[in-house]
Amino acid sequence: MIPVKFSRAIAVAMLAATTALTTHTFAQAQELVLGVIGNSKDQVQPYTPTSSASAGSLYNQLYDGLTAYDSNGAVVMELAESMTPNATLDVWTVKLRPNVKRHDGKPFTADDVIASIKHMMDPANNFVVSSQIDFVDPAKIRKVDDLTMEFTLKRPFGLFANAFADEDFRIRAISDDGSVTGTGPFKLDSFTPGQEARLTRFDDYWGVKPGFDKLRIIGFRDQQAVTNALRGGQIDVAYSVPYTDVPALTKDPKLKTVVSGTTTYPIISVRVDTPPFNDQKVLEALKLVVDRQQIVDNAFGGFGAVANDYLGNNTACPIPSEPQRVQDIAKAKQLLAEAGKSNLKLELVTDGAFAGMMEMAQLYAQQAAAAGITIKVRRLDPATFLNRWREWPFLISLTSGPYETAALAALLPGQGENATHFDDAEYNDLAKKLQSTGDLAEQCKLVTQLQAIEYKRSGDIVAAYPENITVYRDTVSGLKPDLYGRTAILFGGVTVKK
Amino acid sequence: MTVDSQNDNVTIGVFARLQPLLARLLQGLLTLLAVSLLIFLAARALPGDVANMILGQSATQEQLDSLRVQLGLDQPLWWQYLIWLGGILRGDWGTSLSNGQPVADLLALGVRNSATLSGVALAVMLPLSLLVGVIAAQFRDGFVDKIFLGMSMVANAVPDFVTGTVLVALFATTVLHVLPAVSFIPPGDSPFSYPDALVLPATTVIIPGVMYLARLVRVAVIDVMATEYIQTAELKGLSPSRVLFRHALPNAVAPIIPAASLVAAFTVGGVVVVEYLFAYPGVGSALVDAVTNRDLPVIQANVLVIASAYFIFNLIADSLAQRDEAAGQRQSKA
Repeated sequence: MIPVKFSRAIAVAMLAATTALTTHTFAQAQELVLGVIGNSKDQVQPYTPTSSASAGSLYNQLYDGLTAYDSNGAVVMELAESMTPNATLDVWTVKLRPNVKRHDGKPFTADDVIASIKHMMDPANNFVVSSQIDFVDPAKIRKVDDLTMEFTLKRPFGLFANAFADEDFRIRAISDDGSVTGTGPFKLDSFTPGQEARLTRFDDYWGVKPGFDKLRIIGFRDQQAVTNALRGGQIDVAYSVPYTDVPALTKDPKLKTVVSGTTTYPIISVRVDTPPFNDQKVLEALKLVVDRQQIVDNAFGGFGAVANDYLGNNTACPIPSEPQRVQDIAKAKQLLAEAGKSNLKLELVTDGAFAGMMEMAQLYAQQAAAAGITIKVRRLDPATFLNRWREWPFLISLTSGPYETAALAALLPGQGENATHFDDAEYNDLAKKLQSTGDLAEQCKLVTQLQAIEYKRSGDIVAAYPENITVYRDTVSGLKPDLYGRTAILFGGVTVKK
Repeated sequence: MTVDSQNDNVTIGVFARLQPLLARLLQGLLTLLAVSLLIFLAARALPGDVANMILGQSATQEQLDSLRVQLGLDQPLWWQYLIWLGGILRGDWGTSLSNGQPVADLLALGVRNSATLSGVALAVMLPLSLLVGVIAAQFRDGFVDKIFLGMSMVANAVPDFVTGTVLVALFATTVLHVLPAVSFIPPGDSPFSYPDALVLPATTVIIPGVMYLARLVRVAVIDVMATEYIQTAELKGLSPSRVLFRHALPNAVAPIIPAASLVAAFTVGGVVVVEYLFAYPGVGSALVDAVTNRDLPVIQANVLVIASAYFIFNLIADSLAQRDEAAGQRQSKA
């Protein structure tokens, strides 16, 4: 028998050990600080048109999608467990992942999905990207049981899982008190638009959990402040850094970099329904004056690849067999002369909001001068630029997202992002086929054909496919390359040791 | 004379003294009203509006129109202005068009942070200007004085953002790593909880302020030291420190005080650049952000605050100058 005193001593020792362990665990509570460009238009609820880096950083932690693109570009199931179409692709049965919990402790169910989609598609809510899922009829989503829904679509649609993988269509839930809640890896503690969000790890998260407890997202006014804060040790991870800052940052032994792909990059766009750009010869000449390697090297600091006037370098499909366009000033001059436009004078507008935009515009202006084209680059503030969006005849535009959503939103008639006013019967027909097939091999074949048409006739001059550079302090480990440039905001398995 | 008439005389006397001040206050209120109208018109004249900024490039014309109706931007301009003015008179600053938060909340946060930064800067700047000016005057035309004059010329010629950028490189990112490069103050916290974050932005404001004011102090002290009563004091055998601090300085400081008030007004305005540079969350950075977003109620509120600060400091400067003038006139009559 153990003497009473001894057992008391054991109890005390165990208590002390537990306390020490708890204190130790508490002391290990680690916070990761992420620096982004803050946007005071951000809201906590995800159905806002703001596609800011700060909103994206927050939504990625708070919410999940039914599906998502993984880091290699494949569509994977998230809150959905399966999506099964009927033979004609116009009725889809969606089964949800079981045992997913919301941040307010309640189970996540089909009701949350139906309410979210109805909110997205209600015109009163001005959720502009809802046109990307306009095949969904919100009145015809039937709840089969708590984890199953049946979507009867307005038209057959094969890219159902892809469409919902777009990060704009994350699913939210509404708590009993009316506040918005989510199912993501972090829950929200506090939020001030454009300035700061504080989050705590959600321990009931269904997916791969982050290896640290707290996350703070700080919004900065400009890129220089983000870079300074990173160098000064005030933030651990920079969402993005200017390409021109990368060489200096890589010299700092305490900083590390991950080079990722990205679907977000600037392109030069012309209105193909407006003279002189409606002349195929002029359009071809404008594509022939580009020295693409110089743009990769000087506008993007060498981080990127030469592009060939079509979007979607990051699809898993074979690239079109069209030859790589290279600078050919003599040919460009000849085409312009044939079109009777030898002394073109143009104005190229940009808001310079994205890294490399201004540099690309100025380099292009210099390169075009060799063919006798005079280009004046005009930088506008974002509101002025957006005020005449779709009216500017010659602009630096931005593409963002996987091919099947980004390219179709920018190149089909009537879409909000179609700044070039491209309306090509053959393209429209193939796009329709792409949307209504469920066969992956067929989808790939169609994407390649669509890209070949872009190469020949679209108003987009795609000079470079830049890369995304994430710079972080050596106290952070586990950040991974990501085809969609989300390295700085995917925290599954990421740890911090300060 | 009866007691009543004496009281009346006192009342009239007080009123007569207060009248210029009341007139100035009324003038100030009218100026603020004019400023608010001008800013409203200027902000509306800028191309693009908050609906463009909120909905971005994917929006269709129908969506833009629908949001404009929701935000009341379809109403006539004069009506929008009157609604805003009526709100202000009732103490309602309205809500931000871009994120729906009450403007009063955003403003309170910005005013607290900017007032702290300006307050700290002025609290260091004013005594330091006096000290530097007196030292320079004492060593007039000497080595120290020449160094000061040279430095002040450079500091006054260099814009604030250059001074700030150099300070960041020296103390935060490139040479030393002793101070934060970015003065981020979490929204719920007081700037005083982050004293190290105040150092670089305050210093960026202090350097040009000191270099300007100390020059004025230097000249004033030199002038006063050359007057007869100072020479008399010196001949009476008073110690140089007594002559300087008891007799010269009070007279030298008087003409500088209005200038100091003006520098204070400039400091409040100049904080815009410094706040932007250091990402310091004050009135200035909120204003830059609101203009970018075309968020009219937030633009109006921040401009009114900055204009009011200018007005108040100018009022102080004018009142002090008038008092000095009156005192001067009384002295010359005596």
